[in-house]
Amino acid sequence: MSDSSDPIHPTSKQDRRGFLVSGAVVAAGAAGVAYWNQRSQPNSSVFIARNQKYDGELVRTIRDGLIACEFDPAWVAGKRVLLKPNLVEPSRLAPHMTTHPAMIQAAAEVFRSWNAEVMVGEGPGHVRDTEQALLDSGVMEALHDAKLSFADLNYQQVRSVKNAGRSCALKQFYFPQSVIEADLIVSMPKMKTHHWMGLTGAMKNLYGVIPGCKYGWPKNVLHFNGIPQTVFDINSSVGRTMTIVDGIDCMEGDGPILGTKKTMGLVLVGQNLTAVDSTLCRIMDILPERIPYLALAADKLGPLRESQITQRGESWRPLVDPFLLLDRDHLRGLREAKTHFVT
Amino acid sequence: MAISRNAAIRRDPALSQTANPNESNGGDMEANASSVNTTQWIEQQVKRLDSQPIVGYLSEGPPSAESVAFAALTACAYQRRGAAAEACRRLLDSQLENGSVAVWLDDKGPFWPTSLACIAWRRFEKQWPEQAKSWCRDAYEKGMDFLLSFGGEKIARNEIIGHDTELVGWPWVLGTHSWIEPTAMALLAMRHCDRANHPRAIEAAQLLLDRQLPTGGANYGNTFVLGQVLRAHVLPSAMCVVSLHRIAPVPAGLDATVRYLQQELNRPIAATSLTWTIHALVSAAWDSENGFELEFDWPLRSAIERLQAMGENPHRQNQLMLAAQFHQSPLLDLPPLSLANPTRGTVQ
Repeated sequence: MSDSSDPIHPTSKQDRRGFLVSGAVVAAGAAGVAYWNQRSQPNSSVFIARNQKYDGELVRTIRDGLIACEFDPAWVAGKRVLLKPNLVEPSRLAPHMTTHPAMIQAAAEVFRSWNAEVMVGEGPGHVRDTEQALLDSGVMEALHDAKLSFADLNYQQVRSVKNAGRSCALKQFYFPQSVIEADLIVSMPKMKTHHWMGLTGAMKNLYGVIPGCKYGWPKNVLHFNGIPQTVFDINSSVGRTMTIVDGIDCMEGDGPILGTKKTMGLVLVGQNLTAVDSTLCRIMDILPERIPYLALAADKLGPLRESQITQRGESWRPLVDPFLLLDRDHLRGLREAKTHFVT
Repeated sequence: MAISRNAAIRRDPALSQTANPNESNGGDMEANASSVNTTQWIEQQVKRLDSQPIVGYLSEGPPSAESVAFAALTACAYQRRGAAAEACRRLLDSQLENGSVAVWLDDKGPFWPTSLACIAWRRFEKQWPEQAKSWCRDAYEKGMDFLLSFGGEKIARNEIIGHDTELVGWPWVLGTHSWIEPTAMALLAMRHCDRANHPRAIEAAQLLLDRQLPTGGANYGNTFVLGQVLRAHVLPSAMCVVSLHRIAPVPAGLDATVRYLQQELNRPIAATSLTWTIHALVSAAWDSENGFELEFDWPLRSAIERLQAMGENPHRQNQLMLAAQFHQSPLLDLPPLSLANPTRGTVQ
């Protein structure tokens, strides 16, 4: 009910990090961070751990993975870390759809041990009642147990930030306060197929930083402006990111909601979301360059080619296990082999 | 009607089984729900509402139109004229020239809460006509004009989307497709504001019925996508039932949705979803001599307890207060609805 390319508009509330600095300054800052992401973060190391379990040593795995990817623990001390799980449409019938609470708790423990200020934030894409999403996903109890605060990204105060990607027609995005204030946003996706895009991984998971209040449920403004384009643009605009992927109990087939469970036992970590997503593709037997948003991001936000990605931990090759894809025209070209499609 | 404020809900142990190992949290967190005294809690909340009718979604956030509209309705429900007037005035101050009200008051949009503001103004006028004078009527009439000036974008029918994509309800954001919740809110507003027979209202009702899932309940707006039936969610399901309150005859699809909501009441339900669910189930039992044997005390106290653990949230607290009015909630103060005219509406 508002034009989706609304210009920057004033807000009236102040906070301790200067949320209220002028829109232009915020926009410039965000664009600058995006530029930094693209130019000064060529580190495309991807760490893979296998044989992982939700009741296993996830803290050690994540810590090892971050360090293997040359993440500097000293850098994060005193900084704000926003953990962004995937709670798009939690259902007690499909816990393999959403990021497992144990992953969130483990990631929080790692960053807290490095003296970061950690919070969890999500704006579920299909569920307007965020409290219900937290209940159904089991994340509410995880937050409670770990004494973690939660940022409801669907309803927080927003500011507009320039669309640094400019792949779609939107001139700016509205980002919630916690997203703008975060020094580091950790995308924590579930390793899943997607019935439109083929893959939903670290980059697509950042749809959840877009506030439903402004964009609806589903975030239809993004769909109308092109899913690949808006995924690319959000990732270009959002600030410093990294990813920790829940690849333990995964989803194949009609993901991201209605697919079936596929246990992989993997955790992936990386500072470059594009590199990690392309690695996910290879493990799932999907050609990363055929995923539309990865094609847009290639060599802009990060590398797709294996030769440009430094492998840490386990090698991806022995882990390849084709994920079923829907047997639909728009997905058939995502893999070389004409196998592992389902109706 | 067997809906009781103080009795325990009849729980079905089989329905309490869960496939999600993490779901035990709901039960654990609600183990102490018996410690909540609903009557005392409401007394405290009424005082809070009196002193703080202008609220937002989050305790530290800016005021939002939906939250203020719910505050107004709740104040009406508890006969708090001062708080209701303050909330309605605040909505009026935020109404733009074209009749719209933005999500965050004084912002530039989107404007889907305009429906809720209209309901609040209309209710205040009904309850305190002397104080409402003409300003409430002017406000909701302009709001109605705004709502009728646009609709959701039609999408050409295709085989991959199961619902009727050409029905025009209301979108969340201008220029996008119609979805259940904004359509349900707009239909409710039209019914409250004496436009139940408008072709757009009829079409909105048809849209909501079209979106019911085969086994009951509703997704946020899709039914089938790429051949699969989507999952039902409590909130949009309940909003469908409430917006079709007193529809006659009750369509079969809506009956199934009511049954779905009855089952869901056995599980932990969050404050907003519970508010609409209680309204929906009260609505479904409206004209029944026996009602159904559902009682809402346990879920209400559980939701209150959970809110207390999570911290202050006046918006959700107001919603639960409203739900606790059951059949006396002003949201349900509507005449019967008949879909006598099946003609689709047109956007003015």
